[in-house]
Amino acid sequence: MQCANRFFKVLPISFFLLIFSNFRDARADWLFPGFRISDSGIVTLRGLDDLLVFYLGAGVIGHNAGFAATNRVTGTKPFLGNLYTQVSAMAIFRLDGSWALSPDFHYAPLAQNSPDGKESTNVFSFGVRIFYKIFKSVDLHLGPSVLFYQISGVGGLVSLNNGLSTTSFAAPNGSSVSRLICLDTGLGLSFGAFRLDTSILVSGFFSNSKRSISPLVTLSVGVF
Amino acid sequence: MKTFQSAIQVAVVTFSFLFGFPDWAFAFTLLNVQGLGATTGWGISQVQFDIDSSCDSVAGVTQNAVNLASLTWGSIPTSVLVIKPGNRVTLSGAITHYIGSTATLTAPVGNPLIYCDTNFEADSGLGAGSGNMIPGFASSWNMTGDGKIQGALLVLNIESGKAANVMNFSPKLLSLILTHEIGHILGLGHSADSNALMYYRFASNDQLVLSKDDMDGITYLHPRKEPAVGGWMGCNSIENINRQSRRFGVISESTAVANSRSGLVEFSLIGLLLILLWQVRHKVSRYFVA
Repeated sequence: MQCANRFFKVLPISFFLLIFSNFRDARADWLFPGFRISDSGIVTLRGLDDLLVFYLGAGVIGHNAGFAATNRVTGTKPFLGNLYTQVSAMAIFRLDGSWALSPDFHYAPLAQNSPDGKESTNVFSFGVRIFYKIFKSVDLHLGPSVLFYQISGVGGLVSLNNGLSTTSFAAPNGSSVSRLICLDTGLGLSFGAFRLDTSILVSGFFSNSKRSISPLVTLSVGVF
Repeated sequence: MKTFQSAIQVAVVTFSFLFGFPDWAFAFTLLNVQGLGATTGWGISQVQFDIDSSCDSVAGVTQNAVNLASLTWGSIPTSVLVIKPGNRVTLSGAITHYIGSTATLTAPVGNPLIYCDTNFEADSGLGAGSGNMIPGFASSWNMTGDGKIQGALLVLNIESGKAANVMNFSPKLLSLILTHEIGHILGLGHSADSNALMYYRFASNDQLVLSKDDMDGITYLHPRKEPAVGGWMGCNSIENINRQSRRFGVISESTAVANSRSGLVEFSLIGLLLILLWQVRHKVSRYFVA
């Protein structure tokens, strides 16, 4: 609990410092001018400029980037990790000034399957992030996310070489889900009704041995 | 709606070209102990390896094996598993055979035990010449009816005059072999993926690295379920346990210092970066407004 206590002490202090510093900016409102209504009465969709926007999108997550080796001789670990194509849903609530709140959900519809079809893995996540707009079309975000990693198997026996002969091993039977609390931080770009979000999900933040980074890139469109 | 459909199509095609859809080989298996069935892992998050007094003559080698196992198997982000050095113990009773129905030693209930045998070839029951080929193996498991491992034995070959005596191996190859055997102790079977540490064969130039297959196997048996199992954001990992143990005098200062750096440093850097970006934005906005 010592470690968790540190987390709960540091996190509110950091957010407080950022929010407090923002109050000094009397002109912050110009960054979120609200609905844009032209002289002819046309309301334009401008992403974070609106009070509430729902986005749907697609993207890619690199699960555990640079962690699992793909070549035992060279020890090569791919920079982007284990790639899953994801669909995503996101809402952005404008709060005040440069700030916005955004719950988001990501799911990989295409699980990775083992060559023998006995196992599959999948990744999905959800989180709530605080957005902070630094330029007109650029925002930073930070917040907690929960990353799920599911491993499923159909069971049965597999006969494999053990050096001297073959041995019968068991294939996994059923599903096992890991649940990781992550720190989600990154950068977003708004262009018209579209958004391009780049995030990194940092799991095991307080551990040098368990810490891992999963980059996430999502292209979304505001649907209403 | 048409705009939305077009956007999704563009996104999928773009990301497919950029990143592709890799399908890396993985096919981990689980230990299938004869008469007991498939294992479901240890059922605990911290596994301590005890070392028998028979290993006193090769204490450096065995300690190194446990340390490497701790660093290798204990570093999987999606698994809760933490491996710690245990105690020096002494098995009671004569050991003359530890494989098959005539075994005189079954793994005792408790921490997994590393045992060193000076009469490896005869005791192992693996036949003549085995002492020249096999440096050690995970020999027996004590399992409950639901497949939970509650004891295991790892035997090392220290028979003099035998080519596979652990002292004859290069440190690198020996670390590969022992970490592989500790993978068995943790509940993994062999893998069909030639890049996996749990593949049945090694080459002398192989690296001590885990593949996705190895990580998935340990994760399947010992999943991390924060915050209930594994704490908050890696809090219950080995270095944080070490830090608390040092505070209460359980382990030495030197053991804990190696892993004493905390995520607090990174967290502070992110905070500083955000404040810096705010300052930049503030100055830029002032410039444009002016």
